[in-house]
Amino acid sequence: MFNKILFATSGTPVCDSPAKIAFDLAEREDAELILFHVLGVPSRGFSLEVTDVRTGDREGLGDDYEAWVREELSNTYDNQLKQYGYKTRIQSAVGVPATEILRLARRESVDLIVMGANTRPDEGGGRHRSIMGNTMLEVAKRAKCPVLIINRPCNTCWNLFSNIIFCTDFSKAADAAFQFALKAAKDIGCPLYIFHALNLQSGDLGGKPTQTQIEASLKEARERIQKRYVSQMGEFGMFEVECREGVPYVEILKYAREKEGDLVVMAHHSQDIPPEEAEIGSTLEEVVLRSSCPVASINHPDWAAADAR
Amino acid sequence: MSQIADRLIDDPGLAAGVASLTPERIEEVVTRVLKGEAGAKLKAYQETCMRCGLCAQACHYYVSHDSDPSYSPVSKTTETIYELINKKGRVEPSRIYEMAQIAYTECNLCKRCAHYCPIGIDTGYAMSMMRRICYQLDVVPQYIRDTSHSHAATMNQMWVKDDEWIDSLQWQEDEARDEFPNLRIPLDKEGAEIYYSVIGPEPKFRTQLIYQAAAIMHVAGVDFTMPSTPGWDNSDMSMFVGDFENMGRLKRSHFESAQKLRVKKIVMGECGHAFRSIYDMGNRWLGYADMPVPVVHAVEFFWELLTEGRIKIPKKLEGPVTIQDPCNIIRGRGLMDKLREVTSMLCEETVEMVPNREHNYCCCAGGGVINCGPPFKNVRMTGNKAKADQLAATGVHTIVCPCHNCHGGLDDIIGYYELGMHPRFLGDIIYEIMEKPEGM
Repeated sequence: MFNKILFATSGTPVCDSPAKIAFDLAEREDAELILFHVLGVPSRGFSLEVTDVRTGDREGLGDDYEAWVREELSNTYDNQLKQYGYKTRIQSAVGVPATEILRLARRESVDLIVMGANTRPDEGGGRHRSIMGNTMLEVAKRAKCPVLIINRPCNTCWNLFSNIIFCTDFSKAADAAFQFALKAAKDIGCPLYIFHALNLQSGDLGGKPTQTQIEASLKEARERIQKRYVSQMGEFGMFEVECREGVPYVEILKYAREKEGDLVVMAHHSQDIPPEEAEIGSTLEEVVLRSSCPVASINHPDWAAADAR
Repeated sequence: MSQIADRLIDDPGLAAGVASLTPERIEEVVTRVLKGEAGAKLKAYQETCMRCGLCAQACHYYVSHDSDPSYSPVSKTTETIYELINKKGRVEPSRIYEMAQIAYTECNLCKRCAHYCPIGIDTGYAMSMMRRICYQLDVVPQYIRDTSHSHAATMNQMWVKDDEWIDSLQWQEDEARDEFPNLRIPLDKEGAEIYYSVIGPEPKFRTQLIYQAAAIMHVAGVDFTMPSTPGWDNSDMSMFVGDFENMGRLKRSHFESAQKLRVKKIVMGECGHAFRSIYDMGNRWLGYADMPVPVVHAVEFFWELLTEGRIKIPKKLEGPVTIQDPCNIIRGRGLMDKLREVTSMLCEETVEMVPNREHNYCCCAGGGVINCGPPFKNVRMTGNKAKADQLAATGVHTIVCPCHNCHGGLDDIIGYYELGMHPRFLGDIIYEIMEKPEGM
């Protein structure tokens, strides 16, 4: 299902978990893996010195330095490269990381981007302060292919996913995400759990909804899932549908835990906003930060179409 | 009063240049430039300046450093180019280091002081002649020199290779077509109404600006094109380095790429210094009486689109904004009224900075100072407390800022003084709030 995987890494220990998944996935799929590192963000003076992403030091930019960084990268991923080096390409670039990742993803027509949620090292870093990295946000927002975000070590998924949770808000982007989830489930041959969380805080239900209202809405959601998704699944029978009320991200995480999910597939919590304009949905953000398993963000309706081609 | 000698900053470019200088070489270069290039204009400035000091209040460096006379324009010219004139170039190499640091990093060539001088001395010109001498002496801050080298080698500022440029345009076209299915970024379309030109950092770092500009022109139904050949980058750090030969090369290729496509006019993105190089310095160096292809700045272009109703704004941007006046298009080109009209067509409320328009303070990034890189960042930060105070006094969050340099400069100042404000390009605002008809 993936022929070319782009693994965007900062080369720091925070990227170890994404690295594991990226290599495992590439190996399983027999896909080409591009190990990509944006090695420095140029200062405003541009081009002579860069800030090393790993150390934060200023470094003089040149062929030597770039070669050294690539060398360092290959040392960092030495174990993985020993196994899968023959289908891995190490590439580096200078620039704004999100822009360069998107640029390369487009140029190489990759099928999947794998990355961590932020760059900061552990203590006091992004994860502890519940902050999503800017790079990740930007990439997830604009990438045309699925973006697999790994924020924590994934212990359950070794080499393949065994339970896929697809969460929907019935938006157009969610349809694209569904195509991905279904394909992945079929491909792997694992169960697919289709989930919708009714947002009790949204006000759509008019302040404090009664139990009857909630139940009616849940029923309606189940019907929508049947119509919108189940009808498309053909012979694939390993699925379950569940709708619950509450705070969406909490319910999603609870459900994922219950089902031992090791991949959560979601789109932006965007409803009808065009995908490019949507800030990453707060629900997805919370799920990424708190989920113990990888989260795939698929926002671009093109995904399914491109895949069909 | 401080002295330049007390605040010297290490820079490999300046240091290496000075190390290879001899007094004879300095004298020779100074004499050559003064006789061959500077001529009567500079001499007149030097002879008529009566050291009245009225220019001092005009300089953000002077104001920000608690009225330290060492930072006044008159002092800075006296310590540099006027001293070379008086001493006929007979100065020690170490003195050139000091002069170069003043000329490259303590003057933004913003020309605010010219508005305060009772006899209209253009300190910006005097300082650029000082830089011209430094360049010929090979004493140039390393960062900006490297940027100028990129211009020389690739004809653009960011070492963007030709295919990368075209690829970036196609990429943005692809992205934009999700939103506007019929949008095109036509490359090399002969006879197009408008040639849209950008600066090097756009394809490299701010690719979304190209997307936004294309979207605006698409919705407005503008017949535009972008060149696929070198010449697309209208920016010009060689001008600020003092490498006028290269400045001429760049401007010639820019204008010629437009002439080759037989376009009616060039529209320039929201950049200030690039505008200076096409209407003031580059064209004159090339001996063009005027611009060979008419050039309009984005502010004028947006003004036209909005007043002609080609772009419709259903709902203005909420909340008050303030306006940064970029020196090259305001003092240089007189676009202050148009900038205000465009802003009022887009935003609900404007809170003016004080002072404003042609008397607004410089961002302290322009004139190549920001391009001198990290070694001199603090010079810009401490040197523009005036701007920070001015910004804070407006009490607003959004700054309308139609210039890349101002953007960079204000961003840094906002961070340094913790102002919590946000500069935005006009194009960015227009793209956000304009009417986007379905299925275009």
